[in-house]
Amino acid sequence: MSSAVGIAGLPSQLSSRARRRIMAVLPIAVVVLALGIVPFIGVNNRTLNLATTAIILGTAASGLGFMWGQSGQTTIAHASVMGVGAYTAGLVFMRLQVGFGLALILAIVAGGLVSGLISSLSVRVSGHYFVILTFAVAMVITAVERRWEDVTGGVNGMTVLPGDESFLGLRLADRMQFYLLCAIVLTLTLIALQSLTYARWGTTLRGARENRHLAWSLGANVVSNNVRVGVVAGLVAGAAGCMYVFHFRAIEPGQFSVNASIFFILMVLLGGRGYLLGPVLGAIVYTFLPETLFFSPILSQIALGAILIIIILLLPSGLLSLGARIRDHRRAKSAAQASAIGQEGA
Amino acid sequence: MTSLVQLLFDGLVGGAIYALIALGITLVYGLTKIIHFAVGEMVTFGAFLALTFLGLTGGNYVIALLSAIVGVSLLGLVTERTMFRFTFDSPLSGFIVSLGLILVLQGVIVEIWTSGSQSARPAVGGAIDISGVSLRYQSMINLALAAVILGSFYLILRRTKFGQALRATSDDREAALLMGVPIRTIAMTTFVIASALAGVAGWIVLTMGTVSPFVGTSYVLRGFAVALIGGLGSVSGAVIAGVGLGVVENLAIGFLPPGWTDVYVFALVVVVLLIRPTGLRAGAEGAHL
Repeated sequence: MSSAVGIAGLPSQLSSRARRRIMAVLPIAVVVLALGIVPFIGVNNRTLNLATTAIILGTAASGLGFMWGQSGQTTIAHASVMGVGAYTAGLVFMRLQVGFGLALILAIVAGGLVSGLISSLSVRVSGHYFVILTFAVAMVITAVERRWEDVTGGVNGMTVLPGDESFLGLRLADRMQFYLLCAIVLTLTLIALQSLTYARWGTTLRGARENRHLAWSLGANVVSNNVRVGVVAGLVAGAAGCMYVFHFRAIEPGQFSVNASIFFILMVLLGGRGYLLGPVLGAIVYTFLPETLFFSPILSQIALGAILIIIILLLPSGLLSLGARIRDHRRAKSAAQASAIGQEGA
Repeated sequence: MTSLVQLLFDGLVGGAIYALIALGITLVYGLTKIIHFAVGEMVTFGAFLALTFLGLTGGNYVIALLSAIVGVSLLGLVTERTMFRFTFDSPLSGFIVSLGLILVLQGVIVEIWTSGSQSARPAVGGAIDISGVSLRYQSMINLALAAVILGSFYLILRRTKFGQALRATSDDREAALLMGVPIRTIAMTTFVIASALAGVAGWIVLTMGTVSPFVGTSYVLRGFAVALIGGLGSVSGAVIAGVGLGVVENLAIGFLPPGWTDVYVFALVVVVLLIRPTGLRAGAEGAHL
């Protein structure tokens, strides 16, 4: 998980290009290994279910992490977008009897579309105001899901039964095979996001994040880029939404409310913005911590809210930044010692 | 016609609650640029606190009001000293802290009291009937209470040394500091004031009927919309916009398909944010404090 630390230990004679390549691939290799090992270590059903939940939430959080980390723009409608994906997949699967593959594609498209629309509002407002705007949009989406009972089932929610449906040769009803399917979705998502991060486009995004006006003046269309980042985050959230509904098999609007979006913000911040695996690590902590401590849902809400406050106040760059922090601290210390010795000599 | 007047009156009372919340949000934003969304949870906290003290004192509404004000002010003081103090220079961090507070306070309210909704009887029952329009005594008391508080705030901001210091800090933090204004103390006081206003709003919400632990976010979003429409930093703007939103909302309840009120109101917030992100009143940055 600690890719930043691993990279620091690489021999320095490697060319910078090779280092870059290893840096890009290493986190994904770590994830594939970690995900692939689960079927062989004989986990019980409860742990397997939690792992599946963590992977699905980690997928969705990765989308938000990409948006926030690369473009510096965050949103409080991410869970709502995931909800749109979940409802879309559930609806077309149960009512139109389409296969899982098509349901997944439609959920991804719906997520990308809604998120792109929300992001396109950033033409009018940016920064703080955009975040508030997404808060209001999230409230609208939840209110519509609650009221539009004919389609969404209202507060009673919607039930989705996978039956004997299978995809890529994996049976959805089988917990272990469904886990593998979620693992594949997460891996593909991470590969896609990492490619975008290392592509020229990713560099442009980070440039605009650091200095919006300079990026504009150099010919980058900052607004259109922000909309496209929103679409990417939405596609990921849509895919996660589809996996979510087939995992939990019952959904209701409260699962995709503003509170759920705040939890996604927590996951991204907890692991660390700008780290590919940050959101996944955040999702793992979010899912396993309350369960390991046997917290009631309300108690875990209190604990997670407190963790969010503590993280933003004490460790705003997230858990994965700890390695870099300790290294910086050591360097500063040795530099101070060196200068002290130098002064003695003089 | 009578039903229209009735809706307008009910809207006025709802608007008073929004104006109180909006004033708190406006003050905090004006001073620290932090958008304090946990104010909504402070409203529910105040309402439940008032409910408890009603039970303890056998129905003394004055003590309930005072306990809500004191209790929520203390909560505001504690959160400012332990959290928002450290986000003074980073408004986005402050905003995220307030999101975390939403989760914590909601959970704490459920743990202490209940996850369902609670109701209380009005402090003063009955109503006067003017040609078909029923004006509840409680509504009139609440309106008067809100008017007195908002009015005295206007005077404090305009006529006192403290108000002057507050406006100066809001205009230009550094210049105010150079002129000897204790901006940290002012910021702390502002958080306490915003909390006290939320406490009053909580008491009003309770006396109007029911309260549940999860209504905070919907109140705060309305309050924020009001603050924004009125121009962040403007007391009179908050009052006008608050009453406006309350009336519009009640007209929507009266004339549009029922059950969808939340959708209309939040959509209205989205539209307002898009059309005039700096507020509907004149001036690019909205009116000043």
